[in-house]
Amino acid sequence: MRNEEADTGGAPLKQSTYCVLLALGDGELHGYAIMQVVNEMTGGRQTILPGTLYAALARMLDEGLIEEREAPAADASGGPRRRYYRSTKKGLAAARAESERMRALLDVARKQQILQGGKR
Amino acid sequence: MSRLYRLALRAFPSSHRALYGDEMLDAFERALDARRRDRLPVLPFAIAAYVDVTRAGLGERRRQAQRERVGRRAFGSVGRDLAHALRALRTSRGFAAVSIVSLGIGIGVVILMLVVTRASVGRPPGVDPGSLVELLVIPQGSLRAQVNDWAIDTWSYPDFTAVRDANTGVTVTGWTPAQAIVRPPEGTAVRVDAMYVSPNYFQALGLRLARGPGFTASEAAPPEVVVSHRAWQTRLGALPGIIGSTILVNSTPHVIVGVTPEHFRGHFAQHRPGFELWLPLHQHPNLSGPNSLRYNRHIDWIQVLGRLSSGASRVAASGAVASVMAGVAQQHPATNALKSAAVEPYCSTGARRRTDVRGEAGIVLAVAVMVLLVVCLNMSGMMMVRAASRERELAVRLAIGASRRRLIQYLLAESLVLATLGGALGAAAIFGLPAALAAWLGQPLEIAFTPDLPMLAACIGLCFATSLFFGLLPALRFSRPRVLVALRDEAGGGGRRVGRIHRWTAAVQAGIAVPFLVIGGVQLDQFRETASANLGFDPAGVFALPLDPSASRTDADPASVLRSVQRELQRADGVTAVTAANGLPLDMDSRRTRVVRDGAPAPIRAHSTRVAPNYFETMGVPLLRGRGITRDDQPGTEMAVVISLALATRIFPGGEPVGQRITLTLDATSTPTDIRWPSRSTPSRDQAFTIVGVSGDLVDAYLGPPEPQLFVALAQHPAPRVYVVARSAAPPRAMATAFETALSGLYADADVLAANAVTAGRLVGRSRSELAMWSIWSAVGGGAALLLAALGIFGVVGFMVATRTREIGIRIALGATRTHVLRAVLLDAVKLAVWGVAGGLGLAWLWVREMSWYSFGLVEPLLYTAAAALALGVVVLAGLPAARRAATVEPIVAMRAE
Repeated sequence: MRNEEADTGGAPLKQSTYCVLLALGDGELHGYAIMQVVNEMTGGRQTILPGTLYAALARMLDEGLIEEREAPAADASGGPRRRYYRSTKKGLAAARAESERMRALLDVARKQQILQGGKR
Repeated sequence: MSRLYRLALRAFPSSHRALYGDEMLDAFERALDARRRDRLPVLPFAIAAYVDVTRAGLGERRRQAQRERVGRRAFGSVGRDLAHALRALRTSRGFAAVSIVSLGIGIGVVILMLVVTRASVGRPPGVDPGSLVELLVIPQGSLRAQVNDWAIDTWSYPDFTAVRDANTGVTVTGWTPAQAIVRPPEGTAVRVDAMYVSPNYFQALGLRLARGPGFTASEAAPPEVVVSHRAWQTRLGALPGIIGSTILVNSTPHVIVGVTPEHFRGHFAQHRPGFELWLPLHQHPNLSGPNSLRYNRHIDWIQVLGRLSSGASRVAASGAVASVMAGVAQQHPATNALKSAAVEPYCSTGARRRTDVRGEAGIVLAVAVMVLLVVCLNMSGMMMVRAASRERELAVRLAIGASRRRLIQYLLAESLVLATLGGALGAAAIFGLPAALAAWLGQPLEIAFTPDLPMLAACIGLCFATSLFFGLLPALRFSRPRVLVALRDEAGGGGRRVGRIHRWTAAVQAGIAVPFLVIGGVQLDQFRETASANLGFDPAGVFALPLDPSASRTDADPASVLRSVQRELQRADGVTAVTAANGLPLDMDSRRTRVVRDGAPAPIRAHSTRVAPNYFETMGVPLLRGRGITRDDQPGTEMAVVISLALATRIFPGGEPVGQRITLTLDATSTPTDIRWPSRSTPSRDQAFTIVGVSGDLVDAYLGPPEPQLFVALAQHPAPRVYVVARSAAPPRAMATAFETALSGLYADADVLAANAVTAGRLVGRSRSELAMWSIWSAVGGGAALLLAALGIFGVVGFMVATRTREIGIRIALGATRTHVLRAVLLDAVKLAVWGVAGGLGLAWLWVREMSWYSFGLVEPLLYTAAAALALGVVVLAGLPAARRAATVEPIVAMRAE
């Protein structure tokens, strides 16, 4: 785990990056589908807009957190040719590390009774 | 709203817009549509999206500028291109793997040939070639025509001593290869390669012995020997006090007076694994006894090296040596009238073969370079396909200000990465596999495949040259995409066509595979045939022992030594017949002789064997007419020859051959042929013979259909090395004892000599496995050619499809089915290769006609069909990926550009 953290620089992930990684999970999605999944998984509380999304995708490709995949042959939704993305091992590790970091922060919040569900 | 969003997109750098602009706009529009569907407010979302795209775009611009600054600092543009190429290749692993393997094959072949050529032509270690020279006899007039060479590298002993003792400005040293039997103080006797040399041999070579003073110049000294470092280490127990001790060489005690340096093998490149003993020339058996060659000018057997004295020029020395030989010619016109001499610079393969060897090395390297060239052409085809599919990206780069030079560099970086990885793979195979094999076998291989600095430099240079060769053409072609067309059109290729040179090479490669496949099949069939074919002699129970009749320890002449051995052998249990001959069927020693029928203009080539009485009975060869060679065929009587049925039908079609006369050109002396020694040209002469019998046909030196053969009397034409042959029902072990007993009274070390006996069955087995090996190698050659052809076709058809995407899209839009498109593309691939395959079939037909092959029946057309079908099958397979790509072209892609 230490190594994986070192790979991502150990720094907290940008929120957009974290959202994309969570949305991708271990599946393959195109850009618009990622927007939809982010919206659905946060119950509409959080949206990611195309500008932020595609800047994040370009950055994540450079950092090796995600990789581009061949578009499946049966993509009958029309529109321009879409790129599909998938998390790399490094991306999954980064998402895991970020989640751990979040959980540690949540634990602190619970202990201080800022968040309900902690020890009383 | 979309128009406004498109405007806001300009906040992003143009490269980002080119890649993602359409998708971003599409996502924005879909999100808007979704909100409208769900009756959610649209305007706040749109405003948020405008702000978001502007903010993210500016952020992206900042990031790009920063990245470029860092990149420039860290790598420079070349490093960045290489890193990018590596990343790009990682995403297309299939392409990278195929390219690296095929480049590995191409570069590996060239490296292998470089290594082998260097090992066979390179200067042998320990020799100082500075002023080293070789003395050659230069034949004149008719002698030159007879030897059919510009020089003779052997001298008669008296001629050698004449130039040695004259003042010519050259320190002359003589040498001749031989074999010797060493009996170390501990351990068993072995036969080793030895060299008889003048006492000044090592000084002339400029070699300092690792131990010991070397030979004393006096002929009166007791027998001396210099041993190789290897022999000292492996055979003589690496004893530190070796100098001055005694070993038995050819049953005579010899004092060890020197050990050569560790790496010294001999003075020529072909001296490998190398000699183990050096003995003084004056101890050579040829110079003692009643048949001594000391004053014989008829037989040439000494080779001569020399070192120019300081200040002497080679030209002057050559003149001096020539004038010495002119003097000898005046005194001995019968033997020397047509002999002059010259001093030639030392060459690692022998000065006589200097030009031949360079030519051979040149041809070998040229073939290897041709293979690499073909691989390069294939690769350049594949790079074209790749570049064509990335044309849009290249156009974008050009549009945002990349210079053409920068684009070429970017494209070449990928070629360089591929060539380097391919070269590394090839080099690892060439240098790694033999080392691994040697480690596995537990003994060093003969050719050392150790990479050194020049070899490493050659490999790196090769990789650079290769990458330039296959990368430059695509880089030049695609570094100026027509920007507008490319940006508008996703169809790729920009309307370019596949180059003619690529089409031709692909076709030629598919064609080249055909003859190899056919020949592989022919050899396999030949192997099948010979397993059941009649060899023409009966190998069961035939035992043969190679023997040098002049090397016995008695003073008797070689002919009577041979007769006594045969007589002794005849007495052994189970032996039914005994004979002798200078060769055996299937001994892989081709002994070609020119045969001319009196009055006929053109000579015929026939395989000749010199045989003793009883040859045909012993070998189990039927005599069809007349008689065999008998005891009556002695020197002084009429020259007798027995010819085979094949020769009889060719030279006297329909006539009676027995009693007729023919003229043969036999070598004056026959020397043992061994690839380790330079072959020697020996004068030959024409002689008239009377045909006394006709034998049945039998195999010659190699397996195959019956070739013309003839048999002359060994007694009339003695040979220095012969086989004593016995037919016996006894088991091999008993025969080894019988041979040893037969030799024991005449030869020292009879046990070592008897161990060399072979059975005819073993020769047959060796020939058959040789044939099977050739069959396998031909098939491997055909397979490799097919593999390369597949890559070439893959590239060409792939590029064809890439350039015709729009046309294919239109066809599909107009109603062509996917099957139609698939079929059309595959048909194109077959059309491309069919000319090559047809040419290959023609070549195979000619090649098969050149070979001697039993069967021209049904098997031959079957082989042609199978080879052509296989080649075309591979072509179809290679075209399949591109054809499938074509069949899935979306008509919309083709239409959008219009």
